[in-house]
Amino acid sequence: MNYQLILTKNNFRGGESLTGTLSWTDVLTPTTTELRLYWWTEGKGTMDVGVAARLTLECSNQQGQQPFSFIAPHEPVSCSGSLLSIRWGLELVALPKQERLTEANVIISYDGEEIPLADNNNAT
Amino acid sequence: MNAHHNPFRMSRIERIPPQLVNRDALWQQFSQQHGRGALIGPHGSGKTTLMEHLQRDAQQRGWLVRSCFINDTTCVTWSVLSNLLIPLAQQKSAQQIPTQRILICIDGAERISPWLWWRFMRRLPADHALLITSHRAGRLPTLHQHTTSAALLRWCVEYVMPNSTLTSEQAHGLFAQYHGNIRDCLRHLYDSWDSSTHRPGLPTQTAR
Repeated sequence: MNYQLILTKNNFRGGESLTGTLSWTDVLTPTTTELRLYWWTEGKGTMDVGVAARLTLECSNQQGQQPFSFIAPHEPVSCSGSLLSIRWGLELVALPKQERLTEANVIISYDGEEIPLADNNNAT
Repeated sequence: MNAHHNPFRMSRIERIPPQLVNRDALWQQFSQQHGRGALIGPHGSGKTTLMEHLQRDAQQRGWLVRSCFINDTTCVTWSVLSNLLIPLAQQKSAQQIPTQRILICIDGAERISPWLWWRFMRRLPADHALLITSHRAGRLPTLHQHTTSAALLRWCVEYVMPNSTLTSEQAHGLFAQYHGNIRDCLRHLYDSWDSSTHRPGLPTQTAR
């Protein structure tokens, strides 16, 4: 089985429509999937994760495609520094086993660009 | 340097598999110990990592896992511990999981007072399995005794950063500087990672 998330673009402003298409091939048995828009942290500390929105998508045929749409949240914004990055992504999981099928990274911020965080060691 | 490009970021460190541990044998031993076991070892020796792997094993085997993490900022009260039991009892009475085995995991069990531990063990149903991590042996039969070494540190570094240039001498220096705490050694390497050379930095001082 092969799943693919095709996004209209990868950089979004908060409040903007985040749209795309899920396409699948070689799905032998009808599968209920959940598409999650989520953020997570990366860096020196323990990872935090939050799910902002989710959609249930049925993959009932062997192959097909289905459009999806979310509203990009206003926060937390995509940002990155030496100690911490906050990142956004979409992940598609099969229910009920929560098996991850595919994923895609996006950037969500005030202007659609990842915000660089100042490094305290270099701050003047 | 972006945190999500640092090879020593926590999400990668957490993926380091427990080295030289046969988990199938551990599960067999856990069964022989009637579903009671303790992972014993010093700070930063991989107890939590092994427990997380065992939790995933249990979930894949269809067990229901309930876990609790206790550290030096956690106020361990009876409600913290009883929460591990009460929802399970409610679920069982509702017959939502009539045949599912239950594994309770407590990370940092040495921080539970003797009185609370005694009360918890009295309330723990006999058919619930219990896995703990602790710095000291004694509360449950030991399932695995963790040890660390400079060689293990090098293996961990090689795992997150194949073809690492960390030498054996540097590994020994770091290992000594952080008193055998592998987690702290890896945090040091996170801070000292040089994105321009793609090399971990050297220990700033050694206590050899």
